[in-house]
Amino acid sequence: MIAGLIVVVVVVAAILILVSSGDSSNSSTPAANAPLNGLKETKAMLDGIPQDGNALGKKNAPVTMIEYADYQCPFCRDYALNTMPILINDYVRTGKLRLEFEPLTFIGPDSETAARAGVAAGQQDLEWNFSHLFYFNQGTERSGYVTDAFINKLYAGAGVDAAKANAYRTTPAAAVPIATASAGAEKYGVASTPSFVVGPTGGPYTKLDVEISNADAFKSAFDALLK
Amino acid sequence: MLDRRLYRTALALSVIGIAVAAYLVYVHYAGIEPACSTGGCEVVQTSEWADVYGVPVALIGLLGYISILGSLLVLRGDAQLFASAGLSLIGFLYSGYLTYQELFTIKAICQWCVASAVILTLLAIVTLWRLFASGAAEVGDVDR
Repeated sequence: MIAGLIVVVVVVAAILILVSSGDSSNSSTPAANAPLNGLKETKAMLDGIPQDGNALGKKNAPVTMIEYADYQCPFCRDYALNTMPILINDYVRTGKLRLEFEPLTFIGPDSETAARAGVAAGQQDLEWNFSHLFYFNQGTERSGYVTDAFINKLYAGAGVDAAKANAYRTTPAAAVPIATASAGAEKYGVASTPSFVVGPTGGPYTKLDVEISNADAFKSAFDALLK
Repeated sequence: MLDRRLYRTALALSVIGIAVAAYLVYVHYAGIEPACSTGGCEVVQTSEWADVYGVPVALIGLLGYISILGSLLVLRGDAQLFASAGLSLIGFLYSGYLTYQELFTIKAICQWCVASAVILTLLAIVTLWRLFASGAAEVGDVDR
């Protein structure tokens, strides 16, 4: 009887372990097959501009603007796709402005997954390519669309080494910049996304209250600091 | 006397196990982060080992603990000894495998999962002790 018990125990435990490992069958979703939008636009906007982690633009640019954004937030997408390309073309490309991207994750678990994936892309200095492609292909908030397949598709489009980034994004280290972002948001009293703080590179930074669709309002804030 | 004490210990351990697993199931379905001092709970609970074909491991654990408690309360005699020891051993082996994945693959530790692994280890020890102390497991003890 004891032998029978041992056999049953071993078989059941082995079955549990076998079905636990290699359960990657749920990674294919319709989103994986949809075409990737914004490849050309992303390349045109970013090509030739230096990146360093979450920062875009020359290190010695006199002005820095930090954006607090949630990957799932539609207003962040509107800003990124409509206003930001103008600012990048006129101020970042010309070496006057440096942008930093700080991911907040208040909308839901997908925000965290996306933020981690962005941080991992930043390890390869491609966070901006990743986030811009993300916004071009943004789905409905809290619909669970930020799957492994979705991220891999963006990585492919952004030129990110997916194996390396996927290994990194689940590590505790990938959560550190997210904690930094949320601490920064608290410091500056950021209550909604996207929010911006701006100042001479290195600080001090102050909150910028502008209409996100109004590129000229951003520009006059930069110009005031560049004087 | 000894068996009585071991039986009570097993009962208490399975009740504690139910509490831990129930908390993790609640956290899983409520979509909130578990209270966690190691910082690794979320990583562990969102890893590919956190569910088996969509069934959260925490729920499997909860059902396991309920089965162990059930076997202790409902079954009698040898059936109780064998069932509780068998179920505890399965839990021990499976939680050992998951702890191994935490340490060497995910490289993050979730204290709740470790707590559950410890409870299952103790349960396996206690229930096996009862089984062997009762003599039911001895070779030649065929009662049918």
